[in-house]
Amino acid sequence: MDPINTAMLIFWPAIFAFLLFTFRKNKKAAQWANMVFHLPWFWFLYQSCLLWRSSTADGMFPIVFNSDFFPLLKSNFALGLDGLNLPLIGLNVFLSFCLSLYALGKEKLSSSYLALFALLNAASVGSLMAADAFVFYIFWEAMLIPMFFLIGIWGSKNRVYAALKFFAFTMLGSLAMLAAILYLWVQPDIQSMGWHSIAQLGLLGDGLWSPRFWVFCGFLIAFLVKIPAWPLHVWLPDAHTEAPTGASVILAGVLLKLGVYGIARWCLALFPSIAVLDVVSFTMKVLALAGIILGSYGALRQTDIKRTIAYSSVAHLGFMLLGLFSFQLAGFQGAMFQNIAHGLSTGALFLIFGIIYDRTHTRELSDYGGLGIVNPRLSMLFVLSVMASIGLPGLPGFIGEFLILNGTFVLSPWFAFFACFGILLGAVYMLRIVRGMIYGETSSVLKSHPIKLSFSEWGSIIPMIIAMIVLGFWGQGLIAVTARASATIIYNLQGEILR
Amino acid sequence: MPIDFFDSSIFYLGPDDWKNLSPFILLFAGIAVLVVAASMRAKDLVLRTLSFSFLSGAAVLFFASLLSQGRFFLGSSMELGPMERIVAGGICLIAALSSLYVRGPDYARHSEWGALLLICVLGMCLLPTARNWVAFFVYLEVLSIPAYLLSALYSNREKSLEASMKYLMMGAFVSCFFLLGISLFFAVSGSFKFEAISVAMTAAAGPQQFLCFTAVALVFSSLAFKVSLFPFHFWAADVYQGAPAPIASFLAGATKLSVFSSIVLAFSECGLWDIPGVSLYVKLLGVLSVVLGAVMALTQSRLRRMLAYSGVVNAGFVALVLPNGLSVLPSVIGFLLVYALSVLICFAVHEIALLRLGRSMDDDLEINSFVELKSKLSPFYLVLLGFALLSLAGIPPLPGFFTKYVLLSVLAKNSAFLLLAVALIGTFLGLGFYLRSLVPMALYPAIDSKKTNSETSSSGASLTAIAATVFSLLVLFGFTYLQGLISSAELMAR
Repeated sequence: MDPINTAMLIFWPAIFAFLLFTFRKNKKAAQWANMVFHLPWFWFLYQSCLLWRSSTADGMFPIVFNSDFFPLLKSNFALGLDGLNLPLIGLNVFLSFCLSLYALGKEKLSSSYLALFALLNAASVGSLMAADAFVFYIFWEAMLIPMFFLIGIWGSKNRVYAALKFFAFTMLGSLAMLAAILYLWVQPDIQSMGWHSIAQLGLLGDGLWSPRFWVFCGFLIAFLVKIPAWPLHVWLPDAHTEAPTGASVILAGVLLKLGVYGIARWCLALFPSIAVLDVVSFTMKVLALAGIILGSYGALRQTDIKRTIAYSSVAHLGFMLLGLFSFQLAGFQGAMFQNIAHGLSTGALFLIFGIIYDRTHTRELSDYGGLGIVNPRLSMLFVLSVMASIGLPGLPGFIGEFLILNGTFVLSPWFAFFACFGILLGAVYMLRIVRGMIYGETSSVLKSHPIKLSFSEWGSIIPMIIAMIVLGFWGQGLIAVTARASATIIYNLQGEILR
Repeated sequence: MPIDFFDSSIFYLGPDDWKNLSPFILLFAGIAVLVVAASMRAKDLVLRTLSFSFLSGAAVLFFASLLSQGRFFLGSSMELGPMERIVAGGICLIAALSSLYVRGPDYARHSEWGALLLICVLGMCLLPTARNWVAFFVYLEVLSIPAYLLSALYSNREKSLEASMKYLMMGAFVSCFFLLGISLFFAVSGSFKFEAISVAMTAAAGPQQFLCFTAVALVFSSLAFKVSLFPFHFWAADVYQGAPAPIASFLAGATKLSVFSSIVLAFSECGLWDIPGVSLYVKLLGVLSVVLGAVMALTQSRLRRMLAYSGVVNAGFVALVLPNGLSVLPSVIGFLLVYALSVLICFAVHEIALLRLGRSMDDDLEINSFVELKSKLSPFYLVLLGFALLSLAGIPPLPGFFTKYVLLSVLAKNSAFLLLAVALIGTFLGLGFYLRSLVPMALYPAIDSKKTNSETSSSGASLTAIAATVFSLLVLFGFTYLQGLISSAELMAR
């Protein structure tokens, strides 16, 4: 339970990225080594869980690792661990492991792909745990470089455009965050850039248009781009569509979640007095609702299957944004739960479709049909993931969305009412995919490209499906993990509302 | 009125003074040796080894004296403090790394390149130490004249001659600006010494203030030419493109490092930032350089021209923070060191690429033709080039991010949020051109073209690229240390 194990959650993938470079000559060895490298990572995760369980620290975001980093910038290499980030770290490690199974035997996925992937993992886990604004920014931006190359080199036809668009949008948001961090840094009474000392910062004012408001907005914009909230979502469909399967899964499963996590950690928990301002919360709820409705509409209009799933992500993340700004424990917990649920279900959808796409090389819905006859087992898993995505009871999506709507209903019943249509639309566009892909006559594409899965491909999907079912029936397990951290944040927010 | 830029103290030197002067003496010795070697038509390798060892020796001496020696004065012609030593050491380092990849028949024909390079370095190292304007002008010309000659080293190639001609003509023109400016200083204060001018500047009132402003504007404009700030940047693209690669990469980084730190020192010592209008003028040039430089860089299709305009943008970033006085110097030095090393990597990899593709040495590769490289160049060099470009773009966790962050934090500290916004916009536009140059080589699939002559050795250029990468990482680690050292030393001295 040494805290160094927690730090190793970040450093281990960075180390094995460099080790993977030594396998340049032998693709197969690199893929197997990549899978084996995940096992110590699981060990570090397990140790971190033990550390979290045994921690008795009160208050928010307990620091588990602290070391000097950049004294000039008042920055320490501080890592925190609590109920908010631990499940997401777990999800990251888990999805990455599933993808390492998927990568076995894939001709295209060379050692540099796997190494970039590992670097991406290091950066995303790092930004989940960073408890220092400057360190957080570094990890946050460091995710861009590997992702840019993953999309740009291993993506499909339009990949360069998608990679540049992804980079430009994310960077634009990040620069707003950079301005906010610079502003915080020059405050005379700030002790360090650590999360806790920012939280205690006094002199910034509390009202609308106060400095604190602008700092809040700087952080918020970066996260809204990442989530992505309407109208900043336009990079997502392109990035998702063009990205290789692994990058799509990690994009949906971890990177978008970082936006939600970022709002919870760096906006709501850090600046509760700004978050509860009517203008802010109302605007956010409107954006969330717009994301739900317009994202669903966008998904309905697509003929490209990956694009449909991408737009469905916009809609689902709209739900999470709504939950965050409901200022109720149920809504907040729902958003945190949905984070994991959506990561699993959408990750599984991208993975299954990616496996099919590896054979057929077409994403057009009209090219498919009759998958149920060709490969009934895979179809079953696909339908199960679709159902999880729609939010049917017994699967995790239901718990998340129900909690979000439940929480939203308390303070803003109309938003909850309209958001319900999002669930309805969700069923429509997802079932449209199911009908087009699984039912009907066997299409010529599927006739000419047999869909036979290798052992490792089954091995990559099945853990995700199992995790979905477990989470669907035993949601309390996850809710208990996030409970304490969420309750503290909500307690502060509600205190601000009453004030 | 006596002209007072010589002091009697100059004529007695104790043993400590010799220690302080030792790096300069080493450079002088190097110049002498290289002149002799050039006249004996020494071999390429000999010249390269000699200039590298003298330059790196000087760099080591500068950095070593940082730890052991205190402040050193030579009248008002020279003041050596920790910052001046760091700047000088950095310049010698950049020059040494540049001299590593000098190669080819053109240099054999002009074997005087080593001596010229060292003279140029000498001028650059002396420039920040000047404490009167006459010495400043002399050092500036010692820096400039070899630079004109070095740009024309490919004397049978049109581009190189054009570059040198443009550089020389405009340089001569702005030298007149400079002389007019400092004579106005003399008119106002009756002295060329920074201390005397500082007194006169505080006393100036009414129409005299306008005279002061004119003087400062003239001086700054001529220095802005050296660092290629908009609208004095017109030579930059041609020199970056036409001059021999080692020379261009050296001039790009080292000139900026030397001249910008001299501006900070000289203008603060003279108290010029307090004259109404001066800081506005400098910031205006900075804003224009950042925005227009970025726009122009976006339209370039060739790597070296793109780097030239990115140089305008980076000079603009520095100009934005300049008017905040002496305290910005460490951040400026750190920023420009990383800039210089990154440019060095780009040029060195570009040189390797030219060799592998069998192109002529004064060629400037189209960004799109980097696709051809994928099958010829080891991915290692592409990674280095990517490192340099992304570092220039300021993306964490690369060194360029940290230095840019420290630089821009000066703006935040002074609540100059409008300028900060301009700088962030410039950074964002910068992504456009840096990423665009990365795209063909990183993202497009390799095309198999027939093998061309790739037998020529490129070990010098690879060495430069690798060493520059290592040093730019070292800047990062040394940065905090340097900042502490400098601020404490400065506080003690002033």
